Amino acid sequence: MTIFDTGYSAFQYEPVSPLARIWSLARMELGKIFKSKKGLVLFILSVVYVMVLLVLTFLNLGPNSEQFSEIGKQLSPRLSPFTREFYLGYSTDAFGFICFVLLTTIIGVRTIAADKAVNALEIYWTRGISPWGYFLGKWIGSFLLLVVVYVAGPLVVWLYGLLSAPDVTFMQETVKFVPSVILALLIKCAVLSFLAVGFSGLSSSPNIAMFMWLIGILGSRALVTILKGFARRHRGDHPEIVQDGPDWYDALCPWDAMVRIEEHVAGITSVSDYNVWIAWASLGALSVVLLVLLRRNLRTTEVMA
Amino acid sequence: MTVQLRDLTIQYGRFVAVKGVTAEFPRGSVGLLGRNGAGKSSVLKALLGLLRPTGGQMQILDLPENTDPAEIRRVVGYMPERESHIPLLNGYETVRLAAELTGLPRLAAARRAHEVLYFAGLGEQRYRPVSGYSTGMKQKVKLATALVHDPQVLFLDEPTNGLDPAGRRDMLRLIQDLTTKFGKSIILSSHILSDVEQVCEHVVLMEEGEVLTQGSVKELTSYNTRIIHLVVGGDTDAVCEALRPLAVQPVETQEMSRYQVTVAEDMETGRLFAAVRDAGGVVREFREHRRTLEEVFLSAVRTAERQGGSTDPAGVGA
Repeated sequence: MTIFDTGYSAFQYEPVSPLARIWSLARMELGKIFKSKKGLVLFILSVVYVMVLLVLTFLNLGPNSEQFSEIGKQLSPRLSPFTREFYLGYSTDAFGFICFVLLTTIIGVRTIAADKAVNALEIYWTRGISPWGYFLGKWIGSFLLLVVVYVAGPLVVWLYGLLSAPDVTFMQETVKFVPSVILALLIKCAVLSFLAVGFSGLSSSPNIAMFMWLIGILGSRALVTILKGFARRHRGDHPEIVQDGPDWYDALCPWDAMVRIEEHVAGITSVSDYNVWIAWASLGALSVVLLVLLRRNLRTTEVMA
Repeated sequence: MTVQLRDLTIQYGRFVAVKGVTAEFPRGSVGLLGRNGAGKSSVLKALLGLLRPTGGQMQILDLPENTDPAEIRRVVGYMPERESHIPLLNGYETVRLAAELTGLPRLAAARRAHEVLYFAGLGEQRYRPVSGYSTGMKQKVKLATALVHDPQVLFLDEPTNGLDPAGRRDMLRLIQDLTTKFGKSIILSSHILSDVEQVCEHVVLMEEGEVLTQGSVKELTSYNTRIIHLVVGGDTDAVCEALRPLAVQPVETQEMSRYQVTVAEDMETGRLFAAVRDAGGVVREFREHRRTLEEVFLSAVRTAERQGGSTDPAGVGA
């Protein structure tokens, strides 16, 4: 078929709602990770822990479960599907942190900046979507990706546990805390994907966005360590014990603040035991600053002029 | 009327990009001409609701003046000047997403994306990532994106930018088809005047944020005058002196006794021959030509400069 063989035809349609348009954008955003080999490898790497959890669940609830269960409980609560730590631990430990940083760096943090770099915003904003609708679509897309990795995994493991458990004991013991664990994970995904997409909106190129994000996450963690080091002191009652600075310094790092909130919502005793509202305040302040800056950066005149 | 502008002013900070422009864009194909920085793109973006004008009024089709920009974009298709694509998406996905964002239901968007991509000439290439397309293919994706929701009006900003001669011919032919066969109104912004002359019936010429002149291409290119090229044997000064009373613009003398004389539309050609003969010269070559839009534009710019920025259309032929 040559280019002039197909005629143009008129087209009638009833426009869909603005929410449906935002959903189109979110769906596209979610699918982007599977469009590159790098993204696909990263996704598989991120969900490897689900396999580990499934094996542990099988060992705890399958044949010889009593023997393994006893050993597991003695070693660590994270090895038993009867504990909250089992479902939450992999999103708060070092492996979860690395996967999170890589995942958000490749997907959420690049998204708007990459659009800016190739003038894609001209395409978006000359259609029927507002700058905030666009931002919302990008955020929902990145949020759903994190949900697939961090929420769907533990949920699948728990469902597998329910189906493979020999009796209702597993359900009776876990149903009390699983909703709060899932809620904690959802909050974490929502907040961190918002921050990642927000950082992206402030940058004009994906590389700058990634740099800013890594500085924001890793740099703030380094800052917390330095500040705690400066505030190190000997305990009054036990001078031989050296104590770091106050725990609330952790709230200066978005990741640590989020872990504190996550553990609070899930009902886990946190290592860093400071008032959870400080963590909320820290993330809230950061979000407000991002929104104010985004308001300017996503103005149509800024992009189109 | 497709678009009407009345005293439209657009400012970026202190810089006034469009200075009180009043212009009319009738139905059909209209060229918005001007050099880079003349204010063409600013006008288009204001019409799309992407820039808020500092002053003046705009009307698109029969839509009320305070129509929501989203509603405007439903009846208008925009093809941006700059190279733009959505990262990681192929041609089909790009156009389908654009359709969904404009408000088409999902299945309709998919069907329509295939249709317009075929129309634009990307039938076999639509599943390749846009980032790997040639410039011509990228322009076609942009055109398909602008067309996907079947708009009544198309704003095409420099659609032939970066195209090779064959790609340029294809693109102009597509644009021509859209107006002549499918009844679309097109506003074609370009600094390539020959493109506009080829596809547009009407033009608005802009320079430094002002409208220099506007009218139908036919009228402007034959505005009150004819241009005659002469090769004359004889005394150059005497011939030049003899031609001067007949010309409405200064006689341009070129090498090898060549003259370019702009005369009034109704002047009898015989008077020119007689004037040369009386000056002792012999006409060796006589050629009359229609003015191109480029000449109209340059003439209008020169006239505006002489008159200190006047935008009187009559200046074109003066």
